[in-house]
Amino acid sequence: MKHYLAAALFCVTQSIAAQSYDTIIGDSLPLGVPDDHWFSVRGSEIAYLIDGDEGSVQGTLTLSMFSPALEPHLAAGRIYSYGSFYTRTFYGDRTDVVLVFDLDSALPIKEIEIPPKSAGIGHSGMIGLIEDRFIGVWNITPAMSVSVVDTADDRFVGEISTPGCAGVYPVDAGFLMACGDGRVQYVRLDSVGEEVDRLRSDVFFTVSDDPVFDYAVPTPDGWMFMSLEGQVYEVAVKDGAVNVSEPWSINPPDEEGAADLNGVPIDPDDHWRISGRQAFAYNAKTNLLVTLMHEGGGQETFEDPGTQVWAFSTKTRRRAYVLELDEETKGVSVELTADADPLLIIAPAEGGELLIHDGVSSRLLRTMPEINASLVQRLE
Amino acid sequence: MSTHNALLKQLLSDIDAATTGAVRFFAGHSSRRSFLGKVGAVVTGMGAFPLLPMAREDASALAQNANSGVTNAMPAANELQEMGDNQSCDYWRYCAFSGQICSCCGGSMTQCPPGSETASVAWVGTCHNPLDGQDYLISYNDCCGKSACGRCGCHRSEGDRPVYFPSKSNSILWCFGSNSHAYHCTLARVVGKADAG
Repeated sequence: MKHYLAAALFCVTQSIAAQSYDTIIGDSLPLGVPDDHWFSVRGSEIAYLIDGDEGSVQGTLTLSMFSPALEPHLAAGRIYSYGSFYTRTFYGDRTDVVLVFDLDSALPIKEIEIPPKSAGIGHSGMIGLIEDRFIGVWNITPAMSVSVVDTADDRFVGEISTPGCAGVYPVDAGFLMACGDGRVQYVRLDSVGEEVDRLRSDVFFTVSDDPVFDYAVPTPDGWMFMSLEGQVYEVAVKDGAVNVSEPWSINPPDEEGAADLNGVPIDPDDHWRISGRQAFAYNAKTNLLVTLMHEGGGQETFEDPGTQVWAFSTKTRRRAYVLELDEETKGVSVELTADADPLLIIAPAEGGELLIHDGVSSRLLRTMPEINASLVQRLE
Repeated sequence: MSTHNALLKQLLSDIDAATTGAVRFFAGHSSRRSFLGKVGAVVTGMGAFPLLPMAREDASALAQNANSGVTNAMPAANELQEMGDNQSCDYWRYCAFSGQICSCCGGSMTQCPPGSETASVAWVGTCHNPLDGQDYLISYNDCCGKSACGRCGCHRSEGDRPVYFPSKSNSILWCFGSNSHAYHCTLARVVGKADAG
């Protein structure tokens, strides 16, 4: 018996000894391969790259204090951003650069210097990738312009003056911008990234009555803009013209005495408004439009956090569901992944958890604590 | 055509294209029209309108010119009758404020805290002073070049507009014209009566 015990103990100690210890030096994991349910969330000087199916951070990118957006180019193994850097963090000489991150290591591998004019705050519309080659960065000094970088040879091409127009929303060989004169402008680039010409839509909104957000979301044919009163416009460039669709409203006036099929009165909702830093998102594969909403206030509350998410079918142009958010934390940004089974991601306004829902059913799938961030972007 | 309209027309033709949208908005809104007329009377005489929506390097000089020139007498800051806690977001001047109140950071409502630099361009709001019942044009200048103060955060948004309409947008980092665009805090300077005409 003694011999058996001794033999067993020997085996156990040997098997323990066979396990290797961690090295004292350590190493790094590669980032992994993003799929349709990965997205990024931007915090202060950092972007989290998140797998929405796992609800886990897969890696991070180190940004400047003035880097509002990412522009992924997964096929090239890169993620672009831009930022401003001072020699003494808050003061000293300023350098603005387009940052090129390697998708495998999540490290910056290149910098392309651009004029020190880039918008220090904003949303995903501050940067755009045009024809998988040219990066446009929106500038404001407060004169408005766009810096163009050629990623084929990582070179600053030039600056295009775009007075009174904001955003870089790529379409074919150019980009759309929302303008203060009530139009959308299209700037077309040539093969080296210089402006060829620009087209302008007819006037379809006024700044004083019902301006569109300076934020837009992609559609198969162009971009979707929304007004502060909840009008939906789809903008496309076709046959040498910028075409704007007839608008439809996400919140038409209540019908007096309206009831559902069972005769239950429908709650009036005329006083609800769209708002947020990223107030809406669109998934073309499911015709799903979601908007952050809050009750009360005027147009000037268009950046306020929302207490509900409304979801619409852009096919029927009717509301599908209403998602109540926590009254304490609210929501400041919404995003939908681009696939046919989209995730709905909601960033909290007041330090709450990041919410990941099923976009179609609205069911809560998971939450992520301690993601202190406000802007959500697809990683595609 | 009235002198006022002639001034507006002259302005619209001279102004830098970056601010064209802003001018149209002002021209179409009576509470702001008089302000533009006032500024227009001064700057047209100078031969060039500033290229930026609200250049306020020397607001006091502008006030003196305006007083001696056209219709809208602008009260010196010390003539203003006001009461309340200027470290509170509810204070009347902060109706279109967004940021951190400089009075909480070693500065005042009109002067930046020590070591920070005043941005020479600003966004504007029209706020109602409950003590005298008048509306005033408020210039919100950022103070820049130091780390964010982090105290007395305040976001109100009277008249707020998207960034392509910069003079009424508080969604822009307004540290223009300073050596660093690192945000520290924001002032709220009374630059004129909004309804003077």
